[in-house]
Order: sequence, then structure tokens, then C-alpha cells
Amino acid sequence: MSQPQEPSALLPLTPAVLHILLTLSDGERHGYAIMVEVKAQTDGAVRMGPGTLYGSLKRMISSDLVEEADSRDDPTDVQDERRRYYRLTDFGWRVLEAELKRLAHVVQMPTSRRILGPIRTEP
Amino acid sequence: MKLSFFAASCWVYSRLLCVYPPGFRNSFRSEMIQVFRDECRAVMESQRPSRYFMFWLHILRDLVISASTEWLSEINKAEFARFLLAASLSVWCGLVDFRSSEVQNAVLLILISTFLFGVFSARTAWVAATVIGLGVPAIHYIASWAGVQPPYPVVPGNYATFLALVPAIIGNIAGKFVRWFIVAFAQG
Repeated sequence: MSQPQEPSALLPLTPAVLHILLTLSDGERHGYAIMVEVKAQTDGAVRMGPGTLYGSLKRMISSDLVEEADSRDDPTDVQDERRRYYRLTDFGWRVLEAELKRLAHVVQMPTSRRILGPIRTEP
Repeated sequence: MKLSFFAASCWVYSRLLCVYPPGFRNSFRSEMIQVFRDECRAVMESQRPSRYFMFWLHILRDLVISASTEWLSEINKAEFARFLLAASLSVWCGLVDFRSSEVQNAVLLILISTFLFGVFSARTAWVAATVIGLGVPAIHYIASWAGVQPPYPVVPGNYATFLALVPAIIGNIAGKFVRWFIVAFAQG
């Protein structure tokens, strides 16, 4: 595992990696559950295929952002037996936190520089 | 019908996975097929043929992009640089041969470059020798395809330019032999 010293070394994250981290922040998931949840989270804007999903997971594992988990939702489910579950590592949590702070700062910038007016919510 | 479409889709997808690098395939093949099955099953439940089409379009796009990304990430940068160098030398040798009336200049260039690859990069020397040797016929065939006549046409025909592989092989073997000699000498 090649773990950089600082989470900022991995920023900015790609949309796929960010959404996988966000999904896994809710708990362990297998590949298909991650795909479905990312699609739902983004209203279909980020739609990953199996290749993109496992390519991202491969890089995330080698960067020590996620790891394989041992637990299964339903040990009697035969299909579930074949699946691998993934979960965030401590370093993954720190990287997610750093990325969300960075994005929050970017979102605040247009308002503080008066590029946009204050963000209004729908009544 | 529905079942056969599902089974055929899974079979086709499992065969298409051969486009990924072996390491990646070994690690994730069964999981990717499982995810594909889950997604395919969800699409089939919609019972809309347009969704099948869009689903396959999405899968093929994902396959092309992710397989290219995986291959690029597996390429050893040093080996890629050596391959680029060999390809450049190949074009150079081809152009030298194309423009001159005598073959000696191109032969000398091929011998020197493949010899150096044999000495300094023994592991990829055969690939480099093949690439460099094929530069001469490649330039001649591309030129004739583009309708450009060489100043000194090749007799009896363009196929004779494949003889450029001979000095490429000789240079490669000579380079490897010198390398072997140096290594043996250094080890006493």
C-alpha cells in the first residue's frame, strides 16, 4: 500500500472516486450496491459501468482509501457469497473530509466574491 | 426469449472482458460479471427494448474507456519511451532509404541503432529491432499508397524492402553478444 502522508496529495478527486467514497461513508457495500447508490445520489448524472467502478476501486485500494470487508449482509444468500464488500479506511475518511472541505470552499467562493447572489432555496 | 437475451448478454460480456489487462481481469472478472448480471436483470425487468439498447451502449462505452485507462496505467513508462525511440528511428531509417539511391546509409543506420538497443536494452531489443527493420517497408508502402513515387524506385518491387529486417536482426544479435561479453568480463 502506498499511503501518502497528507490527504491533500490526492486532491482533487475524480467524480467517480468522490461518489464511491460518499457511498461507502454510509457503510460497507458491494460493487452493484455502490453503482446503484451513486446513480441515485446524483440523479443519474454519474453513471458508472463495471469497468469504471472496478478500475476506480483498484486505484482506491492501492492508495489505501478503501479496503475489502469480511462481512456479508446475508450469509445464506448464494449470490452474496460471490460478492466482495468494500469499506472506507481511516485514510479514506480523512481524504473524503479534505475533499468535502475543499468543495465547500469552492462553493462559498462565488458568493463571497459576489459572482452570484445568495443561494435561494425553493419555497 | 427474455432468458436467452439475458444469457446471451452475460456470455458476450464475459467474452468482452478479454480487452482488459490480465492482472486487472484476474482480480475483478467474476465481480464485474456479477455486477453486469445484476444490472442486466434490472434493465430486463423494465421490458423496454430501448432500455436494452441504451444499456449495451453504456456498457460498450464503459468497456472502451476503462480498458484504455487500465492498459495505460499498466504501461511501463521506461519501456514506452524505448518503444517511442525505436519508432522514431524506424521512421528515420525508412526516410533515409526512401530518399537515397544506395541502401548503405539506411543499412548502417539500422545496424547502429539495433546494435545499441541490443547493448543497452536487451529485454526489449527484439521488439525494437522488428520496429526499426519494418520502418523501411512501412515508409515505402505508405508512400506508394499515397501516390508518392520514390526518387529511386525499388527493384524488383516494394517487397524487397523487407530485407531491411536482416541488418536489424544482425545488429540486434551483435549488440546482445557485446552485452553478454561485457557482463561476463565484468563478472570475471
